[in-house]
Amino acid sequence: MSQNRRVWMMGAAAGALAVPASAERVNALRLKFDIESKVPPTGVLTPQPFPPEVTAALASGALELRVRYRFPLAERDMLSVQVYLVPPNAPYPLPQLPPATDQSTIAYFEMEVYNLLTVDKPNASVAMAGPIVLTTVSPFGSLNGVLSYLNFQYLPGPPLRFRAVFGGSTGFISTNAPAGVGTLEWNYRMP
Amino acid sequence: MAAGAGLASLALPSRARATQFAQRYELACEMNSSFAFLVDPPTNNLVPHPSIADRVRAGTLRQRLRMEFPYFGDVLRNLAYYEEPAKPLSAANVVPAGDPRILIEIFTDVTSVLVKKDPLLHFVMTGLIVGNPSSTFFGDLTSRMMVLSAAFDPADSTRMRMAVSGTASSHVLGAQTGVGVLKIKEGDLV
Repeated sequence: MSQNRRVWMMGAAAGALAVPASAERVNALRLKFDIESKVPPTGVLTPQPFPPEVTAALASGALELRVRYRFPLAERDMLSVQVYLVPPNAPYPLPQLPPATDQSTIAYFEMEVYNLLTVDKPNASVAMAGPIVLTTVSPFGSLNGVLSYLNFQYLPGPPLRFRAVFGGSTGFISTNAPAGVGTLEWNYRMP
Repeated sequence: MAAGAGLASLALPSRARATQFAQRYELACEMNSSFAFLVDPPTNNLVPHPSIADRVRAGTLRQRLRMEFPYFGDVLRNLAYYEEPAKPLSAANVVPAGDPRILIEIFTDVTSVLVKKDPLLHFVMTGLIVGNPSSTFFGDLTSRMMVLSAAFDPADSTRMRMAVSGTASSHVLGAQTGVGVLKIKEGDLV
């Protein structure tokens, strides 16, 4: 059980909310999103490079790096992060994600959200952080236990748009995209 | 750490709350900056101040990142600045406010800290920016969100392995080599 799980909501929704400390609980954050971003080669920082064939394909433009962030998972305060490769002309967002075990997926992990920070002015933004609790595939070995984070800005629209989608696993990889597409819903209630 | 000059303009939170993290954590690190990602337009080109641009191009000044916490209260100071390559990286280096070598200086009121020692010493800080008085590169970032993620070398906890700091509106800066100290004065580890 984490002692420092907390939620800060600034702006119109001012106030600090205490969040129960078990991921088994349903989505108390009442936030739901599904965001896909195209990460340019200049947007990746990692001390351990991707496999050479991946690096070469990204540099030549033969493949494109995408990251998909989905929250919550099965009504729990969990974030999934899937890093995968597609041809440059693939639909955006990809309607059907490849399986985490597909060779086009180079990383898939799930983070338990311990902290959430959200502001609505001057830019509506969301940040979340917590430890990775499941690694299905990763070029860096298991990331279980590593603190992960996601930070993005959204423009409610319509159409809803995302800017500055930054995510990563501390000490292993940072993927940074200027924009993203997808859905976001506040006050989401589970079915 | 003592607060420097030029902080009077910071938009400190109006709520009068006690510090939550300053008593628990102390961070000072300095790194060779290797990564800059700007959102609009998407680029990795940070333009140095015209007064030092020639020296940067000539390689006699190189960009560094510094993080200092607590600068005062629960405020984190994030700094990108230029220094002569021969000057050693040190967590103890002092870069005064208003120094013309400063490229970006951001003060953030930290609202959450997660720290873990396993599998390597690392942490994530989030907060709201209360001012960036010494940098005009991105305009006023007050009230924007800031995230800092950093890890230390598993074999030597005085060496930094990777650090990334960014705001969900303008930029991310990163570095992969450097030195630093993170003191954990009381619990609250994940």
